[in-house]
Amino acid sequence: MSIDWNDLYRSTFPDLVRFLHRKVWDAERAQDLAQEAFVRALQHEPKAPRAWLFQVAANLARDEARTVIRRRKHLVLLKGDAEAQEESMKDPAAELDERERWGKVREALDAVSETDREVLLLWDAGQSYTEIANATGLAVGAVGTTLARARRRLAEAYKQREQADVARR
Amino acid sequence: MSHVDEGALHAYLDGALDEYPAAEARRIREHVETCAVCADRLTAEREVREEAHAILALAAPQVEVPTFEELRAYVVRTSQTQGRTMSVRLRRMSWAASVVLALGTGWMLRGGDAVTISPLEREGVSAISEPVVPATPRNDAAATTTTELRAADEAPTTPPPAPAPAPVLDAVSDAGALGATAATGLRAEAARTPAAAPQPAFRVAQGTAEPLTDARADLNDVVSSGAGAVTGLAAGAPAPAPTPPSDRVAERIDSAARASQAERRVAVQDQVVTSAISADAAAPPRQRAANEQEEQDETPVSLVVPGLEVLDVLPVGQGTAFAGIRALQRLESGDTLELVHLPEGIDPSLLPPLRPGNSELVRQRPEGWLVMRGPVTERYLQELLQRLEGGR
Repeated sequence: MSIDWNDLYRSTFPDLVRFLHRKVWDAERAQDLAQEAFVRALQHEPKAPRAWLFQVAANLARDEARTVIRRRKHLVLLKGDAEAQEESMKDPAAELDERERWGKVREALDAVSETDREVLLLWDAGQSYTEIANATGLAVGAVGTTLARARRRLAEAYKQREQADVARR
Repeated sequence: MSHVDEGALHAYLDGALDEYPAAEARRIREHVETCAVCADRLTAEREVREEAHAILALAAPQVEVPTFEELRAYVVRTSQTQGRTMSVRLRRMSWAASVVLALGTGWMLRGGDAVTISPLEREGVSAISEPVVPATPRNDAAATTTTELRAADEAPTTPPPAPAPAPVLDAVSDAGALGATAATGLRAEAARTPAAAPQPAFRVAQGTAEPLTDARADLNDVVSSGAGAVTGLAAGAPAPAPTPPSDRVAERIDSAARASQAERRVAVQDQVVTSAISADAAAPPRQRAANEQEEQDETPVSLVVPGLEVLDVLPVGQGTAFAGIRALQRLESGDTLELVHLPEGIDPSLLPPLRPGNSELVRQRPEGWLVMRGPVTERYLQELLQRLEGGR
């Protein structure tokens, strides 16, 4: 069966970026890595491309987390091109708010165990139970249980952080 | 009849029961629809599910999708150039050349070495940052980069089927080699430099020689780092002194940060400066004279307005070259004050245009430029400037 790569790309790229973003916490970098995963997929043409893409993306993100010290996008403040201008034009207050918000979500996700987090992020990126089971080695029947636990833990951890925030202010 | 477990309830809510064995799926559906207890549980689990979904949605990035044709064309190009597979975003490619230029020239600090902060981006090779924090001992940064890329390229161990390993990437090796120079520059420099040789004047530069074991650092450290950089700019890479000026400024900034009760933590990983400023001995005679004069005139520089909460202190740059410090502080009104410290030779007009409703104050100082911006009156900015300079 031939794969409609164009269709797959359009339907999967945003999901892949979302999945990667929760791992590298840099929107621009998440897009880079998603693109990189697609470039590799086009070169390798795997039989189950969607699952393959997520697996390669997870590997890329893991690699990134292990070895890369990311430069912050603010470094391009003086860069002369339009993209940099657009980046730098962000309202600092809005930028801080966004980072604060992401920071809280990130901390809450960190409170979830690694496997549970992976399952949660894969589900949120549009993977089916079967795809999640294949990617993680869990039984399909265990995916729901894992998701239930992960969702509850995430919600609790986020609430705790919000309460701590309120208490601090 | 036993109730269904919460995993089954979530599968029900997720519409995933079709992926269960048919009999099991039927049993769950029938039970949930007839059992009052499980109906209540279902309501509770639905709330948890929606809550989690909403939390994750808070961290959803805006996604820009390059066209598939662009992606395809890029793949063709990369395969023609022997696997420069670590791609950059397609829309970025137009300015890749300028990054190369920045790499080559850097930003020259009064005849000193270019102070680079960021990892390298080169042609189609994305920013593979310096492996400053090796989780395991690594001898060669270039080798590390290539190895890690291979690791990332490895196939999934579970289905889907494993792809063949990618070829060794020349471009990646090139980038890695450059990265190695940048990342290990200080260590290599230290090994080559005799003990009596002057040490780098920059605390930021010194900092990078140490492994960063924590992804986050106290804001005070970051502020200190920034102070080091700006002092260095002011001093024009002064000769070593018993108490480096950067340390004195760092103390002042530390103190200011404490006074502001800054609690936020920012990633020290972004504050990496990978090259030292050249020592005075390397400067031409006229430059040395200028440096001596500047040393006499030197006054510690304050990066932030005392008494205001410091939200963030970040390096800024052009391409890969370090070009200044940007600090954000919270005003009493809750608005954000932006302070950008640029060294002499960097034109403040390069900064992005002022946002509507903001005022700006640009002041030339001995060490360069200070640009203050905020949604306040110019008069108030002047008051803030006085407070800042009062802390000098």
